[in-house]
Amino acid sequence: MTTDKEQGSTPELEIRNLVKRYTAQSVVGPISLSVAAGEFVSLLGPSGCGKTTTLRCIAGFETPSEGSILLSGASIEQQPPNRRNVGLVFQNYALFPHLTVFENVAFGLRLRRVGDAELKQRVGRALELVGLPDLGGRYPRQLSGGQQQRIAIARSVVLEPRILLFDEPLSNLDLKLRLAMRKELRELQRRLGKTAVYVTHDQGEALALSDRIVVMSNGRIEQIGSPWEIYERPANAFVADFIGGSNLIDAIVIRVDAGATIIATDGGLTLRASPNTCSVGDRVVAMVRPERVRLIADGEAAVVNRLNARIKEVTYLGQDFHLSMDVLPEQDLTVVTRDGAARGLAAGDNVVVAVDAADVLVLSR
Amino acid sequence: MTSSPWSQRPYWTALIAPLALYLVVFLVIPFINIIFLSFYTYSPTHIWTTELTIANYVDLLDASFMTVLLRTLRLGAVCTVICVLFGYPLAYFLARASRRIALIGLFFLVMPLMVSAVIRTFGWLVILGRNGLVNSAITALGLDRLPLLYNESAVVIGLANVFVPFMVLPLMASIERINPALEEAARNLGASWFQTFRRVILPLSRPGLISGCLLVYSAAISAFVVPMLMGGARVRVIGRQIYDQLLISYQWPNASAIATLLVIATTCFAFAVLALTRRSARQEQGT
Repeated sequence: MTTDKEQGSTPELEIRNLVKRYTAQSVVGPISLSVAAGEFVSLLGPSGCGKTTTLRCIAGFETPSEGSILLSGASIEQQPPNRRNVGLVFQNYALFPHLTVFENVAFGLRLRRVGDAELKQRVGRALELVGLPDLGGRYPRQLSGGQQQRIAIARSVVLEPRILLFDEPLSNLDLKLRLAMRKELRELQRRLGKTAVYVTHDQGEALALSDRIVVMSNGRIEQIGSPWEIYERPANAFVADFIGGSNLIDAIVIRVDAGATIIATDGGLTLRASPNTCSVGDRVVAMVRPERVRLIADGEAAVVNRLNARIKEVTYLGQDFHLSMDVLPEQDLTVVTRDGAARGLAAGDNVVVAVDAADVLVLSR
Repeated sequence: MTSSPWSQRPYWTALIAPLALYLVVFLVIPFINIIFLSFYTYSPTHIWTTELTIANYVDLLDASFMTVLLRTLRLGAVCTVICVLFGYPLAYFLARASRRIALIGLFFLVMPLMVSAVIRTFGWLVILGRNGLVNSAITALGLDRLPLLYNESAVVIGLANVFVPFMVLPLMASIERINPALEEAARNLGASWFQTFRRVILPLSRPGLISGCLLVYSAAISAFVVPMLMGGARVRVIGRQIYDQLLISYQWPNASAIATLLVIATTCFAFAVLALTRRSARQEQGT
């Protein structure tokens, strides 16, 4: 699938300068994005960021104010939703309550006047694909949430749509089922080789499922990148804050070396940060992931960014400890650690922590 | 056995008792009386004698009564169809409109019901009469007057005007419960606007449609004021027939037989339709 991308063929889906204007205050876009064939792309962001609007423009339920949407190079924004052949899986499943599971899956095939024998075979295959071959005679109300969602997927997939669109499909399921469905969904998409656009506000979902993530806020794209890039190399403070836990520290650049940047935080610390393009005097935000801060044992040799801190609160979460601390003189810092040494800690204790220069990212404001 | 059996009744007996009592005294007992009357013998001097007979029902097989009966049922059916045609789009619009628009729409919708039937019907006479608004406009254009009143069309217009709300309200309630995402799902799967309506909206709104038809049809075939004022002597319906038999001919046993027939017919119709609705509802729940 990545080969398609590298060959530079026409992207399966291309969004060019898409703008959707509701009122003067509420505008989505301009958004530009291209998705290669077979790629799984997530639109991730808080509610109201424009991710659902973008998806609904692709499906044809919203008309873009400006810009164009192309499927395999052909513009589709003038086509009515029923002519686009893009499969949409809804958050609330949207199964037809008056039809059996079989008839739900057969709905689109009947509209296309597919013959009886072929229809039966294709519906059967779709139900097998989602692992529910024996439920054809049931009504949606008799199924669990997870089963309903699988039927909704089967109903879309059976039509062999050009791309699959998902609108927060797992958010109505409980946590355990969500994790299981996440895996299934990914495997299914890989097996079918379908291009997928997936809308979610759940960063865990986006990280686990996607080839690429589009982080959005306030109707604009903040960053497009692989899950690794989004987490490890956030483009700005919004992305850093939205994805995963992070300590965001206001600071000023005081020295730029060949190998590192030295910054002074507003809380009075001096930190060595990873190299970047800032120059001396720039006001920046330094990001430190809580799990990248280490506890330093008493006798341990001097390291970079060695900090004295006082514990404010210790929260034990089973897998790891959440330590809330004041780095002296006064800088809030959250640390997540699995270090057994954290077990003996209590509020008021003095500790020494350290963070590698590579783990201190300098972001522009 | 210390507590009385009344205190053990479920609370709902207390809730429905006042209305039930009222209905028994003022509806059930008089109606039983009418059923008895329909089997009594007509007497020119005493109006009726308690001698039992089925002659009043046999009389109904008469061709002139059959004409009245069939006309009434036909008017009811046409009126129901017209209410569906006008009411369905309106019900859909109101069900999908914002709260504010829906409230304003509902106000205008039920306004005809707040006006007395007689006054509303006279309004129609002013519009459709020989020298009414429509005919004045037509003659002003140099054309011949149209006979707009005292025919079946006039009765249908008058009835549909009153009964449209009875169609719209249950339909609207039904359509409101249909998740709009289902319409989008159908469109996404390739359904045109009309296919979405026929395969999703219509079957899912069937309970409301059936209740609406039931209400309109029952009300239309028992209507009296509108057919009398707008249909005149030519468009005789069952309601008018009962009225004439009762108050003009003093044929009380015969009038009672007609009334009993009408009530039985309406009840059978209602039960048949409700049984159908219940079956379709069960089907949807898949039990």
